Amino acid sequence: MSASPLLRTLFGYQAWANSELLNKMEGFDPERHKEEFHSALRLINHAHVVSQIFAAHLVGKPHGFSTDNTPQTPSLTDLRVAVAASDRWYLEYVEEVTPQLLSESVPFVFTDGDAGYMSREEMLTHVVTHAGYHRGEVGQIMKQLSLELPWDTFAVYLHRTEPSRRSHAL
Amino acid sequence: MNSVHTLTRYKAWADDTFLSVLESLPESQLTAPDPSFFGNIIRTLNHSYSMDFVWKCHLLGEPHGLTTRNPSDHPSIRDLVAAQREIDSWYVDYADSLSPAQLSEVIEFQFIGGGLGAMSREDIFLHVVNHTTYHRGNIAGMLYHLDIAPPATDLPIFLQASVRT
Repeated sequence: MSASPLLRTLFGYQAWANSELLNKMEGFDPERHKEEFHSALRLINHAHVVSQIFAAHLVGKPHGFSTDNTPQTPSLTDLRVAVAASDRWYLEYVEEVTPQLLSESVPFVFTDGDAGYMSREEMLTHVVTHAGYHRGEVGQIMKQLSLELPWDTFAVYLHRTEPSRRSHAL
Repeated sequence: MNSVHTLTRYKAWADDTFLSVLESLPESQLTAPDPSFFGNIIRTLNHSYSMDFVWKCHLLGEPHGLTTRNPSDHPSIRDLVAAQREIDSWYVDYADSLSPAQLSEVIEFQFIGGGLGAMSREDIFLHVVNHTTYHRGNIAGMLYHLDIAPPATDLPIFLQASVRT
């Protein structure tokens, strides 16, 4: 039983929304859309690096990143595998974390050198809202190129994964 | 304060931070054609506000009267910014007023695109917050095209700002 059903739902949503978007990113033409595709990969990679950094803060381990993106840009295939693994890690983490750990505030250092102090619950919430914002930025790039976008809102997620919501038979 | 209360306050702060930049832009930039979701910055803002209004109506069990998610006309930026700030403040107060039982109560509604839906009040808050965040990301992309750096609206910045005030 998760200590926070709300966080469990949010990370279920994040895993689904990331997967939906990364699948649609196959629509980029690597040649014709070279610059835009690169920007989109950099944005998702940034969101992924930030998720990795906060995963390290959550368990009190060094994360090994000196900036909030990597010098090399991964391929779409590698990025999809890495993001899916990270999203699975978070789902397991929120399933197992105790209420005490969730509410405990942890000191850490941002990659720009600023000191941070957030509860684990706040860090987890940040990881979700941060990734959603950057999905919006990538969505904007894809829309400008008239590429097909996923319909990846939270309400759509709930109704796709639980179709009985559409029957009012709850 | 639980996550929903933090998130409604975060949304109000992040929207306000963004709107403070957008309300000072000339009309020409707000309506500059952009092959984006809703054609330009102001229509994207109006879509985001309109959906906040629709969900507010669902929460209160009132008719919203909208037949499209993408209204073709839009209010002035001045009126839109005022309306957005007002509805964000309403979400904060409304979430604060609810008991745990009311938060988890399931609301039945009809989607604008057709079809029935059912979500708890808590899930509706999560939807509204995530939806707005996504569209701030859209607008950030449009601002970069205009050579304007979007303001930082990450949750840690909000949390630090609320500790200081």
